[in-house]
Amino acid sequence: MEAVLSIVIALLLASGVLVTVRLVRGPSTLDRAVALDALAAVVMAGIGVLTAARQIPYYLPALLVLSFLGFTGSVSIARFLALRDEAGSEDPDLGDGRGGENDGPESAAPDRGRGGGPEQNGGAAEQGSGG
Amino acid sequence: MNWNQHNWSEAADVASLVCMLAGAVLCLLAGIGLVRLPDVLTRIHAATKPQVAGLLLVLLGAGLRLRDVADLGTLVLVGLFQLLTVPVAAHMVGRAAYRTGRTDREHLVVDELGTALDKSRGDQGE
Repeated sequence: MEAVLSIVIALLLASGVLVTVRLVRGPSTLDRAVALDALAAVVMAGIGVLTAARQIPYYLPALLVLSFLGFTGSVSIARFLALRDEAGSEDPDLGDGRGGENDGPESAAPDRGRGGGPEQNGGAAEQGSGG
Repeated sequence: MNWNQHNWSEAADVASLVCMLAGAVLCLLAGIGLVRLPDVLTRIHAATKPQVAGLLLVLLGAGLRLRDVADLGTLVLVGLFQLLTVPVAAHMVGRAAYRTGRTDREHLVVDELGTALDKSRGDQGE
């Protein structure tokens, strides 16, 4: 009994560590949302195992609260990204959103180059007028 | 009678241990899948497994161990809520992943959302 329970807790701990690795490394916000949901599920499983091991039912409402929390978190993150998508930005993910904002100045840089062209031409015209 | 009840409670304890072990194994599989799989959609596939199947198994194990009507009601409520909300959350995350270009479309077998989006964009363009 005790041995099986310790094995179960060890498996849950290993799974929590792996999910946390994905939560830290996840390249996009959606990966982190999925990992956060899975982490909530692992914590819920841990609370269930604790309840079954000690036969104390007082932690069961915490399961309901965690279930609400995981659902609300992932749905709001997905909705937020979809709203930014509808707002018209090219790649509304956070990392690529910064990339998109970096793309803005980069795409504006050729405009500056083009803007510099007429200035140079204007300078040449001034030089021409000065000559 | 007493012996019989004793045997039944022992059997329920063993069954609850087996259920919780299976749920913990599913959680571990989800962690491995989350670390190793390459894409948001495949990670959703890996991460919704512990949330429904593993968590239902753990709740079943806890219910077999507690054996009280009020606690069983709470456990059934948690399980039903998971069954209702997890597909909705995974669906919304998958849609957001598709719209933000987090999927490699060459490996999709059926792409119904893409054709629908193209159609709606074409209608808006007209």
